[in-house]
This record gives sequence, C-alpha cells and structure tokens, in this order.
Amino acid sequence: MKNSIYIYILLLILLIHTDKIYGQVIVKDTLALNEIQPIGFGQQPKWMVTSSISQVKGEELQYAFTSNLANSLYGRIPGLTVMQGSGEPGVDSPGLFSRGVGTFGPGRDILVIVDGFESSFEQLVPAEIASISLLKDASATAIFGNRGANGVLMITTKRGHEGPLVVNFRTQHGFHSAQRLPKFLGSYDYASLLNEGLANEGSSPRYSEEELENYRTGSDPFLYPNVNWQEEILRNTAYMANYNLNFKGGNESVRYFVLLNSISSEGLYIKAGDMEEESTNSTYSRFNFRSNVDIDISDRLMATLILGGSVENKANPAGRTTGGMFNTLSSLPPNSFPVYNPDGSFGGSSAFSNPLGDLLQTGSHLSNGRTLQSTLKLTQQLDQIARGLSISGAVSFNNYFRSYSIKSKQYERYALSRNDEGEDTYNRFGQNTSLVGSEGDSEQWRNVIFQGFMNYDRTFGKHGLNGMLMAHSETFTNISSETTNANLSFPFNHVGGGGRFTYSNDAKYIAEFSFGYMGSENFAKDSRFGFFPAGSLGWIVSQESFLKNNPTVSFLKLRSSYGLVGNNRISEGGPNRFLFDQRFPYTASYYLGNTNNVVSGIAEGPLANPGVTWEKESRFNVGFEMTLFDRFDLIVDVFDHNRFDILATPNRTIPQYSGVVRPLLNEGEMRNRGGEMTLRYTSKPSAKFSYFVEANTWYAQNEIVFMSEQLRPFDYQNRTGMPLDQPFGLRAVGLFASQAEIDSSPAHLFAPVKPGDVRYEDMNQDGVVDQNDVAPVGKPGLPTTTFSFQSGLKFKGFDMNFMLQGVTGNSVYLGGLNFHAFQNNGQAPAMALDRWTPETAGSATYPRLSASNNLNNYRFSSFWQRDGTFMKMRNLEFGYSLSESMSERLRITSARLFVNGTNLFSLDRMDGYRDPETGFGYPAMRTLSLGASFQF
Amino acid sequence: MKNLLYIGSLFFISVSCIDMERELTTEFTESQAKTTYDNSLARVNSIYTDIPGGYLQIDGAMAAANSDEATHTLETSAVHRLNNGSWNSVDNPDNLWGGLYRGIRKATQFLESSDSINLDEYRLNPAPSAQSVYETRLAEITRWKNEARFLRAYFYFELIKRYGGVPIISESLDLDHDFGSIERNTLLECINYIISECDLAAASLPVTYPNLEMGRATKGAVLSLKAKTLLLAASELFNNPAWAGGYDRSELIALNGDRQARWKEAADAAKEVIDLSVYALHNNYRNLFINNSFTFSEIIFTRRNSSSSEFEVANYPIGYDLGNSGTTPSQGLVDAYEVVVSSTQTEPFDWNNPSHANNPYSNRDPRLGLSVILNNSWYKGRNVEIWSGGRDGPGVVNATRTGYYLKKYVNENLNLLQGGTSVKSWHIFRLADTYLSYAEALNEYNPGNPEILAYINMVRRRPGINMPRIPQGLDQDEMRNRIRHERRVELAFEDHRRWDLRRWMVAEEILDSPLQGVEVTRLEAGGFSYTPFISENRVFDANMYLYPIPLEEILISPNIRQNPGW
Repeated sequence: MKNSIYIYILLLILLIHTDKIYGQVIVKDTLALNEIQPIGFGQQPKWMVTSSISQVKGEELQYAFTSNLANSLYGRIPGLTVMQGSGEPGVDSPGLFSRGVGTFGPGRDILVIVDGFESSFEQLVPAEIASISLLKDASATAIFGNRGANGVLMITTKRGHEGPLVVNFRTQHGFHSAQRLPKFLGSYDYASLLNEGLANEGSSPRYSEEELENYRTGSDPFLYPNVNWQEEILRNTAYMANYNLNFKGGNESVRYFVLLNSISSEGLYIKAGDMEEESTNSTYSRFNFRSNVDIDISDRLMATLILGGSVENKANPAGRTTGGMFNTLSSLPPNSFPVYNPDGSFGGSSAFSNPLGDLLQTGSHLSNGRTLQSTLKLTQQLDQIARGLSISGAVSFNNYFRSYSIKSKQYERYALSRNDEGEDTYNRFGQNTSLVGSEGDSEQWRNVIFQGFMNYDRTFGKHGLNGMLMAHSETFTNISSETTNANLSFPFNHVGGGGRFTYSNDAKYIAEFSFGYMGSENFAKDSRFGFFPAGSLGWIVSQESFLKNNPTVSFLKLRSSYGLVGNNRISEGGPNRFLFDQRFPYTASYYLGNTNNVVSGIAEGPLANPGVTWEKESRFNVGFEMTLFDRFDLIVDVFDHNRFDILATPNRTIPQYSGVVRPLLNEGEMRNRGGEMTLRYTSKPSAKFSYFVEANTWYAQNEIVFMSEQLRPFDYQNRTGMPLDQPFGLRAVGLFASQAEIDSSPAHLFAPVKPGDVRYEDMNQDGVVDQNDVAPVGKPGLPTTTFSFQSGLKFKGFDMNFMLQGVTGNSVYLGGLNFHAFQNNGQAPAMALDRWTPETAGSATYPRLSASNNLNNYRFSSFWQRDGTFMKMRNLEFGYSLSESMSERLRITSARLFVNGTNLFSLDRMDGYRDPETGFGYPAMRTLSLGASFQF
Repeated sequence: MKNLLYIGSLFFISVSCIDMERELTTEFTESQAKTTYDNSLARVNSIYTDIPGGYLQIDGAMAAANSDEATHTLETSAVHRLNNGSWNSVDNPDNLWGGLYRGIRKATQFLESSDSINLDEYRLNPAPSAQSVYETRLAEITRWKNEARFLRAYFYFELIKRYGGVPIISESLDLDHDFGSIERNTLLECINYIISECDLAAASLPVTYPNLEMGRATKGAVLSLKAKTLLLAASELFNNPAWAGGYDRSELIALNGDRQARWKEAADAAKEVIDLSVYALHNNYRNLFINNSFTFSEIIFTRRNSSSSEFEVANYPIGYDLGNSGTTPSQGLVDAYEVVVSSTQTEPFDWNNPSHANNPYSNRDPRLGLSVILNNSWYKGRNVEIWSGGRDGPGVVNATRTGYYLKKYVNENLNLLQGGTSVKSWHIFRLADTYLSYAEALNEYNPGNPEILAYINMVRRRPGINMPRIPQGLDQDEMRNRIRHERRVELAFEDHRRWDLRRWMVAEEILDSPLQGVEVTRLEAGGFSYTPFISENRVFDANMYLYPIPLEEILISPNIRQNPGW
C-alpha cells in the first residue's frame, strides 16, 4: 500500500513540474447533441455514447419530498427497480436492482459510485445532484471489472460554472403520515371471534355473554378495556422540513458549487420526550454540506476538490427497536389491559408490556451518523508530448461512522383485577430501575481510493479518437462494534485498472472497446486478477445523407454492445471469504468423562476451492434512440445477460461417500432477459404553455439455468428453471365446504381439518397433503416489470408535475401477526371478519377461525398470496413562479411557490389491508408539503 | 509515442505494487489442524460426534416408530413415509449415508495424518520429564488412531446393516478423484474389513479409562462391534438372498460358505466381551436409560450428548406442560410383555383370555411399566388420562394415537417450564444385548448348551425385574423364539427391533401388518375397558430389507449398483 502512495505522489509531482504549454485540441461541434453524459470513470458527449445508460437529472429528484435520496428514484431511471422498505426516517433505504437480479449468489447489490468513487449516496440531497446514471450493459460496466455485473449507479454532483454568482434558496415544510396501518379488531369483535375460534376447536368460550356485553358497551374501560394501541402510540401526522442554500459561480480560474442543507423529520411516535424527560421525541435530522471547487492552476493543470459531508441525528423513544414496537402493536389484543389503571399506573400483563409505558419509561435510543466524501483530483494536459493527451491523478477518502447512545431502564406495570368483594387488586409486572447508559455500539465503513488516468482525445479530420487508461486501488473496511468474524474485519482490497478506446467517424459511426482489469485478495494468489472486455458499435443513421434533414426523423442512433463483466461479491458472509484455502473449523462438541465434560472438536471444513473465482456475466445489448419531429423521443433497449461461475454446491458431481463437506464451486448459471423503453413527448417551448409527457417501462425476467441442485423427490420441487426466489408453498384450492368434501379429498396431514379450512392440492397425487406437495406458488417478491408515467406542464407562471409509478409480475404474501388471527395469543386482523362459518360458507374469504396457530390454514400457501401489482402516485406538485417583473421588483432573479404531495395514493390488490410494498413494521409514508424557492 | 508507453507502464506498475500478496488466516489451516497435539485430539473427538444420536433420529421420531414397537404422533413426521411405503432412493427419511461417510472420512484423514503430529518440543528436550511426556503422547496418539479405527468400523457396520456391501473408501478422496470408477465392495469384503479393523483396534485399546476420559472407545466396545457384525453376518438375511428375486449381484447383499462357523465366531466374539469381566447388569432397569447411565457398568459404549430437554419436550404426554406426545408404543409391543402367573411360570398375554383382557396391565413383566406409560398410571404428579375425553386421550389435538405414551428414556422429573434439562446418552452396546446375542448365536450352532439358558435368564433375573426363569428342555426352535421374544422386550425402543426383524428375515410378515393401539373407555361404574384397534396400516415390501442407495450417488458413480427392487 505504501508503495502505491509514493507512486501517486511521484505522479502528482511529475504533473506539476511538466506544467508547461501546449497545442490546442479542437473538438468540433458536430452535433447539437453535445450534452455531456457521465460514463464509467469519464464522460462523453451524448451522441458518442454506444452503451446502455439511463439517467435522471437532479432537478427531477426534487419532486419527491423525502429524507432519503434513493426514495426519489421510483420510476425515474429505466432499468432500476426500486423496492420500498420501511418509512422510518433515517432507515428508509429502498432496495435497488439494476435490470432485476442476475445471480442466486449472495452479492446482489448494485455498485454505487459517487463522483467516481464507491460511496453511499442515500444521504445526499437532490439539490446537490447533477445527475444519476444507471450503467446497464457490458460496454458501460466492463471498466468496473469484477465489480460491475450487478449494474452501476453513478451519482454526479453539481459543479460550478463560469459566470456570476447564483444563489438558490429553497425551503419546504410538510407533514407525513402513514399510508396504511394494519387493521385490527376492537375488543368486542376480538372477544367474539376468539370465542368462535375456541368453539371451533371444541373448547369452551373464554368470554361470557356478560363480558361480551361489557366489551360492546364499553361501560367499564378499566376491567373491559378496548384500546386501539396504534392510536395511543402513533400520531396521525408528523412534521418534516427542509432548508437548502447553495451558491454557484466562478471565473476563468476558479469555479465553485457550495451547498448547505438541513432536513428534519419527526417520527410517527407520539411526543414521548415532551411527556417524560427520560424519554425523547422521535426525530431525525441531517445537515449536508458540499463544496465542489474546480481550479485552473495554470493553462494546463487543473485541480478539482470535492468535499461533501453530512451529520445526522436520530432519536427514538424507548430502549427497544422500532421493529419490536410495531411487533407489539401487531400482537397486543385490544382488551389485554387499559393504557392506565384507575390508580394511574400503567396497565400490563405477564405476556405483554405496555407500549405507551415502553415509549415513556424505557429510556431513549439515540444515534449520530457522519459521512464524509473528499476527493482531490489533478489533471495535467500533456499536449507537449502528444496533442490531446492528458493525465490525472485522484485520491479519495470516503467514510461513514455512526455511534449509538442508548439509555435504558425498566418500569412497573400492573394487571388489574377485581375480587369477589368488588375491590380492585393489582398484580405487578416488571420493576422500576434507574437509567443505564450504553455507548459502545457503533458501525462504520471507510475506503481510501487512488486513481490515475491517462486520457487522449483528438480529432483528425473526420476521425475522432478517444483513449483512456486508468489505474485504481481501493481499500474498503466495513465493520461495526458487533463484528467478531475476523474475515469481515479485514479490509477488502480492490486493485486494477481499465481502459476505453473510442473511434468515431464523421460523428456517424462509432466503435468502442473498453476493458477492466481488476483484482481482489478474496481469491487465490495466482488468480486474483481478471480481464473484462466489452465492445460496442453505434451508427447515427440520421447523419447519413438519406436521412439528413429528414422532416420526420430528427435523430436516429442504433447501438449494440457485447462484453464480459464480473461480480466479486461471492461471499457476503464472513466464513466464505477465503474459499481457496482449506480450513479446519470447530465442529460440534462431544462429551466425555464421568461428569460429561464438553470437549471440542475440529474437522476439515468445506473442501477448499483453490480456483475460486468471481461470477461472470456475458451481456448482450441492442437498442436505438430516435427523435421524431424534434418532439417525440423513443429509446428502446433489449438485453440478454448470462451470468455464470456463480458459486453453487456441487450436489450432482461430488458423491456423499467421499465424506467431504461439499465445497462451493463456480458452477451456477443464471439468465436474465428484458428491456427498457422510454417514450417522451415534449411540446414546443413557448412562453405561455409548454408540457411534456413521458412513459417508461422496463422488464427483466431471470431464470436459474443451473445450480447443481440436489435431487428432489418430485420434479415440481426443483428450483432450477424457476425465477430466482420463486416462492414454494402449498397450492390452495379454496376452503373445504363440508365434511363430505373433506372425506372425499386427500388427507391433510398438518392438522385435523374441518369445514372452512384451507384445502390444498395434492401435487404428487399420493392421497395425502404434506410437505412433499409444496410446489411453486405465485411469483417472487421482486417485480419483473416497472412502469412509470410522468408529465409536467407550464402555463404562464403556473406549473404542474406528477409521476405515477407501478410494478407488476410479483406476489405479496399476507402472513404473520398482521393477518393470521390469534397466533401466539395475538390479536385478530379486520380481515378475519370475513371468516368462514357455516352461514357464510359461500362468501368467506378467510378460513375457519382457530384460537391459536392453525397448522393447516396458516401454512405458507397460495391462499395468502396476492398479486403484487400496484400503481402509486409517487409525487404531484403544483407551482407558481413570480413573473419577471414582480421578481425584479423584489430584487431577486426568480421565485417559485409550490405545493407537493409525495406517495399520495396506491392502487393495488391489497384491499387496504397493507401497503403493497411495506407490509410490516414502520409503515410507508405519505407527505404533503408547501415550499418556496428563490434565486438571487 | 515512447513517452506514452512510459506513462502507461507507470499506471500498471502502481497497480501491481498494491499489497495483494497477503494471505489471511482466521481459522485453523490444514497444517495447524494436523500437526499440533491439541488440535489432533480435537480431531479425534470430532469423529465421535458423527455417531448417530438415536433420540430424535427420524424427523423428530425415535427409530422405534419405524418398527412394530411404536408410531409417532405428528402425522407430518417423515417417519410415516418409511412406514407407509412412500420412500425411495431420492427421499429416504432415515438417510444416514452421507453422515456416516462424513465420519469415515474424518477417521481416515486422522489415520493418514496422525504421524505428522509435531512432538519435537518434548522429543528434542533431553530432560527426563520432557521425555516422559513425549512417551505418553506417543502412546496417546497410538490410542487415538485406534479410536478412529474403531469409529470408522462402526460407521461401516451402520452402513452395511442398511445397505449391504458399500464402497470401502480407504483414503480421503480429492475432488479430482475418478468417482465414476468407484464400486460397491462385496458384503464379504465389508464384513472382513470391519472384523480386521476391530482386531487391530482391540489389540491396543484399553479396557477402561480414567474418569476424565470415560466414554472413549474401549476394548470392550471394539469386541462388541465385532460380535454384532459377526451376528449380522451369520443371520438369515445375509445368507439367503431369496428375497432379492434373482438379483445378479448377490455378492453385494449376501455371503456364501459355512454359516455354522459364522455363528460360532459370533458367539465367541460375544463371549470375549463377557469374559473381559468389567461389565455387569445394572440393578435398576429404569435408570439404565436416563441421567448418568453412561457411568453404569452395564454400558459398553454409548453416544454422549449434552444436557437437554429436547427429548422430553417431544415425548411428554400431550396433557403435560409443553409435551408433544412424540413416539408412542404400540399395542403389539405391550402385548409382548409376559403375564406372570407365579414366581416360576409366565404365560403370553391373550386378549381372548377374559382375565387378561379385563385387567390388561396387571401381573405383567415389570419392564412393561418401566418402558410404557399405561392408562391411569401415576406419572409426574397425577394419573395419566388416556381415555376418550381425558386430559391425555383422544379428543385432545396431538394426543397419543396408540393409547400409550413412552416411558423408557424419558426423564419424568424435568420441569420444562423452568427450563430443566438432563443428560441423555444413547447406548450403542450394553451387556444385556451382548448376553442375548451370545445366547442367540450359541443356540444356532450348539443348541442345548446350558449357557444359552444361563445368559437369557440372567437378563430376566435382573434385580427389580426378577422374571421367572425360562424352563429347561426347550428345543432349538422354541429357544430361538424365546431369545427373540426376550430381545424384543428387553431392548424395546433401543433401535434393535427393525434390524432384528430384517436380520431374521421376518420383516415381510411383521412390519407389513397394521399397527395396533388400544381404545380406553372410562366406565360409569368406575374402571376402564380396553379395546384394541388398528391405528395405522404399514407397508413392508421385500426390497425394504435393504435401503436404496441414494440416487445421487449412482448418478455420479454409475458403477455403484442399486440394491434389489429399488
């Protein structure tokens, strides 16, 4: 490592000393399409791009009011599937997948590059983003070598420009609320249904008629409580605000972009900190800063300094996790106990603590996170050596650190009962303790990256030549205070380089070759480096004489690419990191001696795979970009990706009689096919009225081609040939209508079945329904298709913009506490009202009730699956910009006021019982806000 | 252009200068595992963990549920597929093939590398104390090797009992081995291999160990394995391939030659165990299967386990806290326990005898009440209610389906709610089995030998059991039946029955018959009535005498011949 630092210093010194003169390379403006497109480790004019890249501009991201940048990407980037997660501020990162998923191995994450270096990006704010590009095909990603196969999301931040200072100020204030919360029954319905479930099981009812009547009337809220705990714990709306101030400008020698941003968001919990000093309000806040400066040190030497950072604070009441709290809200029956007992103490029971007590009396959970991205890059023109030649060197330090401060305590709660004399008696659970602090938890990642570039960019008459060679070295560490596995705490090294050579002829024909040469020490010494080439061709048909100046076809480019990319993240879990080496781990222990002492055992672990290597993927892409009548754009891409060398257990080549623990071998194959399409119409620009409409859709369908799968008793149980993560469950064929139907059906072995229970298909027709009848049901959770529709219009000072986004081709499972009644003494969902009873046999949508976990009905099956198709109004914004004259009078350049709605509604097949994406825990959020922006 | 090359090469020099040479070690490497004394000991210990456990062996059920001794309550347990015939070479719920070969590889690897254990620290130190440590350790290493040798032979015994002749893998195979050429060894080769390995190990393993090492393989364990193997080799199944229906590779599943000689060898081997004179029948049949039974002198070899409540959670009657009924004894087994008529006379239980049928559980072989929970008997602080409507009877979800619960092996005194646990060890060889094996073999080649009666009666006269002696003067067939009966009763639930029935080649009759339970009705007048009923049907076809070799293995190694009928 040290060596390389010296070499870079040398390189930099060299750069500075050779700072002399020379020649001018003139790149002719051959096309109007000279907009710059960021590509891997560089940029190209758009016309020259022959790879498949989709892009979104930073401005568009402002339409989503969210504290997590990734949540502004829904529907924005064709080819990027965004899977919404929790809506909790600070931990609401969605899953991101480029063209779906191409591997059944563990490393499925997209590679995120910010300004040329691997980093996180969720903490950035839209105002500092110039663009976000998704690099999709081999030509775009090969240069990333063995790290590019899962696609690359490339974030470019804003830079200064030559011109007077522009100051932008923008502020936005709003409220967010849960889109959907699970629905549960009140005490009366709960108690009645529980009695019914008990009766169905042949047990006597738990609640007498009198008790039911008390629940119905609610006459005694202490002994017969009916608590809606969601209402007690959660607020309907929580405040959220953002302030952004940025400066942009520069002169010939210095250009800058400087930004400050502050965002704060309240959580959905009630304001516990206002009620109890030892607790805290649920809040999230983050401050971002950025200073991007470009300096021309001399005519030939340019320096770029990028500094971006953030500090975030998150506070939650209760010394328990959000997940735990929502789990309690999903399971605590409404009649368990009142919030407060008559004497003012917290209600509680042996099985459940009091959620409000948990918020107020168990301390607080604070965390503080910091990110820093810092890069220095020097570029030296070397025209004196060869015209159009330049070299540059860059060093980047990126890191993230989060520390936790947890204060916890316990508290008393009391179960209330009334004795025969009519006196209240209290039974205590838990005890009051004093606050205990814990400051030891932390997590961090950091990387140090060096890069050197040599660029060559020159035009000889018709012939354009661009060449780039780069070297890259990175050390990446990702650990937390809980990391105990040394395999994980050792830094990961990535070393290598790449290059790209582009030849263009008359801005008509373009040929490009690029390659990545990357290594990492997770592989055996002599097989650490891999070569990943890609080639692409482009033909700008509209430049041909027969189409030039054609009134219909304004622009047409055909392009195609083929190449190889890799994925070295084959061992996400620590134990598999160094698969090339034979290990002898501890095995199960044995017991010896007259007192049965434990003795440890060691044995050969999984066989080493000395030639272990990264996953590889051959990618074919063909596409075209077309503009008609200057107004109508159409972009189409079709791809065929074949991933191979995926690690798989060789169940079919290594016999068990060898006695080995089978190694992981690079044997697996997966295929992923699909495409993207963008249609856009832009009206003629006019002062009065202008608009655009854009529709996008993208599709990716994967299939496991080979995974050396174990032999299964029945063919329908095979994973091979199925999409990745295909759910396997029982196939429900409705509810049993009668005992006669049960008698004439295959025996259901999971539990004794009665009319109203779920009936399953006997897949192997052996006369019984058991584990062997588990077969593919429904579709995986990852949608195959995303579609989006967006439009914007401007009329005089008014503007409007919206985006509808949806997915299809996936299944959603309604399971767990929110849907299965009375599990683990839990509550009953509103859905259970539509249960089967002899009277409702025809219309029932929920099986016969059971008072506990029903081993037949609550099994994973198609009965609880729903089509995951949905369409969501991701954002809708109305704005009004002051007229120029008005602005002038106010001495500002421009001003705009706007109303924004984010995640306004969802159209789906969940019948309102859950959000189609976020099913459990902290709900997905809807936000309504007002804002204003000013430019000075 | 030259300059370009210089600068270009500069980039790539910088790339290659990065420290990519490091080799990290976070677990023991092969040489660390194989050359150090401590790690080598751990490697021997690890082989013991591959001895099959026995308690929840087949998907949560005891192996007994795969015989006429019992069934399992949970209908979804895979053990039922073994019983109703829906198992095959892809889906075998009792598939120990891979696990046993795993143990074989561990042992082989140990034997291959045990000479590379580095003792230079003591060997090169001339101090007498160091030299004495060196000598001790050398001796220990020799002992470890023979422990490994014994364990490997035991794993092969478990394999041939299930599969007949299997491939003997004498070295640890590499990934690039030509698996296609591997074949099964003949049954004779397998038997001879086990015997010769036993002879090697028996020559140097100690008869007993100091307290701290108790539980390791002893000379008695090795001799017991030899005796069991020879008994298996002499039995009908491996000497009469008639069941295999013209199978053309009968050498894989049967032996030729002098059967009488094999019976004699089997008897002699069992006698050798007995003559070690360190084992004695324990005086408490019930305690023999719970708690610290691994210290009892009846136990020749046992598979040790940690302290746990898993087995009790699985097998306590359904009406007891956290109980799940688990493996429940059959009526057939209960009926097998003799009725004691007088101190010298017994008679078989008979439902057609009204005095038996009205009071089915009185005057029975005491081992019944020690092995099976009977209706209305005292258990864990109350009487068990197995009648219809009772707390442990039909009507309760997951109540017993046979009218009985398991008592043998189950520790009655655990409080599961408080997380109570106890140590359970699974006895592989115990003296009563050796006595009965000896008697069985003796009766085949030397009927009338007085030792036959002597040893079977010793088992019957165990303190606390005291069953009347078997009378003199039985002929060979009668005696054979008595021995088989005694094995059934004495060794119930110990996973001998399903192998005995195969060995004797009677499984086609017995394991193909329905399993019976008893319906208990509580009488208004007090007392109970008992009616046997068919609890479930069972399927046993001739091909099930041996297990099918897993299909995956045959696909990889086509020369491995499948067993007949699969």
